[in-house]
Amino acid sequence: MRAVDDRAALCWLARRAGFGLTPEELDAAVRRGPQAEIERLLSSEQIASAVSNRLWDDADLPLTNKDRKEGVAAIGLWTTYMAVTPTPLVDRLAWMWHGHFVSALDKVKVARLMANQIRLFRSAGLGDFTELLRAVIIDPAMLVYLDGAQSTGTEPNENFGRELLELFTVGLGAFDENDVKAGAAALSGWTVDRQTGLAVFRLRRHDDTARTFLGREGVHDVDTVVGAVVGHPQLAARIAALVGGELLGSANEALLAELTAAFTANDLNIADLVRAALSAGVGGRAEPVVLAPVPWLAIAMRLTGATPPVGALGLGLRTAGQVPMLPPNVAGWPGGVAWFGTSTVVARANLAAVVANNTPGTSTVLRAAASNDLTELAVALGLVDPTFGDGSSSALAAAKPGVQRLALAFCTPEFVVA
Amino acid sequence: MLSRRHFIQLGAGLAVGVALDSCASTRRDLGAPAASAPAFTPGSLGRASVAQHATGHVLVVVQLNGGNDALNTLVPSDGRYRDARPTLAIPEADLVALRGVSDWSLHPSLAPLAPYFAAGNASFLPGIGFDDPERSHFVAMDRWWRADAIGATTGWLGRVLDADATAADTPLLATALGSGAPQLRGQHFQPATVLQPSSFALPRLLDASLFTTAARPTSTSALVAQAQAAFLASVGAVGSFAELLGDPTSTSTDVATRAGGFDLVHGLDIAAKLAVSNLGVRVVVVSVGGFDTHANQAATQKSLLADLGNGVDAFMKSIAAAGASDRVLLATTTEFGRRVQQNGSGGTDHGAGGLSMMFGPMVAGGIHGAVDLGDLLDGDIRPSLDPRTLYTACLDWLGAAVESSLGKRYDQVALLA
Repeated sequence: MRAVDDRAALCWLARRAGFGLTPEELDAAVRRGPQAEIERLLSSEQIASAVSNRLWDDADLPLTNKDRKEGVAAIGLWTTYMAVTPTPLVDRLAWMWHGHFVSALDKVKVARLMANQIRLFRSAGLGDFTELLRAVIIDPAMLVYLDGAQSTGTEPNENFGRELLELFTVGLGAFDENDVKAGAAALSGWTVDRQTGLAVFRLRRHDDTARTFLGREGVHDVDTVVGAVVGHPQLAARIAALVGGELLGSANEALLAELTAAFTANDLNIADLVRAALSAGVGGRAEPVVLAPVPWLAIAMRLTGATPPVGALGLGLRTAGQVPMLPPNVAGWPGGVAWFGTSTVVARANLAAVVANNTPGTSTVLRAAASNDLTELAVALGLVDPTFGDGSSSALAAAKPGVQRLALAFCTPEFVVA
Repeated sequence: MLSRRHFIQLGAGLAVGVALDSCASTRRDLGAPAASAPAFTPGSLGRASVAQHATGHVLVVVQLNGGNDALNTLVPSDGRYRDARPTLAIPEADLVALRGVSDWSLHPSLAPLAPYFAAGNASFLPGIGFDDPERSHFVAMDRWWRADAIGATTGWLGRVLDADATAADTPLLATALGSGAPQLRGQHFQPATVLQPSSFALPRLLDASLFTTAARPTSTSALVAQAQAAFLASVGAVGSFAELLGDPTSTSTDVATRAGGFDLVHGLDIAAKLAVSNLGVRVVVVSVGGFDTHANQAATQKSLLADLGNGVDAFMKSIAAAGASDRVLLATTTEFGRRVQQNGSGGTDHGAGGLSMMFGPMVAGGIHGAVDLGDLLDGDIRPSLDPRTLYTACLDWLGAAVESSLGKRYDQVALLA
């Protein structure tokens, strides 16, 4: 009995806290058990291993280059890496932070700066939230994306100051226009050195006047801004709700209070918050969610071992409405049932066809799709509840066994909803 | 004989639209059915019959995401404008005059639109915006798409589309091009969303019948049932789109593609085809982004407005060439105008009162609304025209029940002639 429950828990964990597992990887995880797997995913070895892989070769991403080609390659590399990462939770959290602390390549233009920001999310995304926030505020891609790089003490630019409060941290209702202005002034002077791609502080562009910000007096620089934000009574619950929403679908009040308590117990340690959320999830307290196109695609690629041409993936993801490094606006991607829009449905069909057509003949999942046992297919796909509903079953039965059936299976509600 | 696809491959734009429409007229004269989309043979002219003229009124909304800077779009002659924008004001020599108007001019990129104004077929609505504005993109957009019904999950157009009996058989009844359009979201009604018309088609590997099979029977799980409904909506929309634009070519990478990228010129070209088709289209929302010009606004807005000006001009010409001018109203929306005073980055921060535009022979041509640069609201243009006034006109145009969307009519200014 325990084995069955553990398998369901680990299927859930693989699909929601990572980018899926192959049937062989899943078996190994089941042998370890859910709690041990959560600790393994959060271990310092995993984080060290993730940090040691910088993903992109800087030589491929020259700072002087704003070419589209480099950007496409940088996006393609990250997308395909998600499907093979040996550190799935680190990369899943990096993906979450990318959708939260948003920057976008279409404005940042230099792909290296975007790559460096993703590297930050991979190295600090499970660490101390205060350190992550401080690093985000002076992250070069962020300084370009929300115009901090052009903000000066005499003429502060409010773009970052507003979104820092409205979207990234305390939320609407917790601040007013004076906080936006005070934050912008305190952060003025930080800009990007175009030669090195690094953030630099130019004292003569900075307004060091001490102001009241989020109810705290004496705020005048990055550290005092960060201190006021993380000290705000709403901050921990907002970030707990973000992580809860991402990993658990939605969190009710009691669960949210648990997550917030776990987050604040150790001075806003993100790993503690994630551990609490994942423990609740493997305990059956998660809600079903619609997988966004990128994690969905990564899961399909990992399951099959397919390595399709990056150009086809990019085109499909554009139609789906989710291209890594190109969120639609500073609020990131809309989620949930927005992914049932017609364009996304059509794009999933195209991407599923690309993945299925590029699946090696040796793939366990493809062999399951070639058999006439739909339960075998559902198990191979790692579905938490390994059954297809009536509609999906009749369509899968009508599909040609093998590649066509596999592609269709990726489109079924049972596979798309995790 | 040239196929429809061949025409499209020749390039987007007016010439193609006219060529297609002339095919359509010929076909109609030959007596092809007009009421429903006929079965088509790929590559034949048969499908062009969907481009026949329908009869109902159509609304096309152009959404400029990010908050277009109103003051550099419709430029006031008030000297305080130049004082507030020492480096960002449009040079007087570059301004495009509007016939019969002395206190406003157009950004040079919008020169193609001046003749419509001169002919009485365009109106500009400066100062449009909700009372008690906030400077958040997201609050402002929410208020616009819900028509200020805070907390509502339905959009101002979705609420009337819910009542449209043709919705079930008309996959493209309301179509969002370029990005999602929450204003089209109803209690039950879901619009067709086409982010990339160039790749909006099913792959060769998976034919539509597999998805229609998977959609039945409806699951007892609400999420699965929604996914099944999305299958049916998507298969329908893909079919109608193929009738309109032709089948895409299958590429070696197995993602279906047609020619064309996405900007307003391209999006409005497709909107025009949708508007004059007999696919039952009533509303099209075309969205583009990039208007959040906190920095280096001059160059950015210049190219964005060129896309808008050229796109609307080509759209109006396509509609006219199809003989459908009397049926199609175009209106532009954006979340807010920007701060009057330019910032230190050559841009403008979030503001309040904005600008909408309306095009078509049915509009009450002229300037409706007012901006007083001597009476600002915390540095912003004070909203003087409720967006629901624009919505009332648009809903009237669609013959929809205004009250069911907006609660009451907002017709203190008559925007339709």
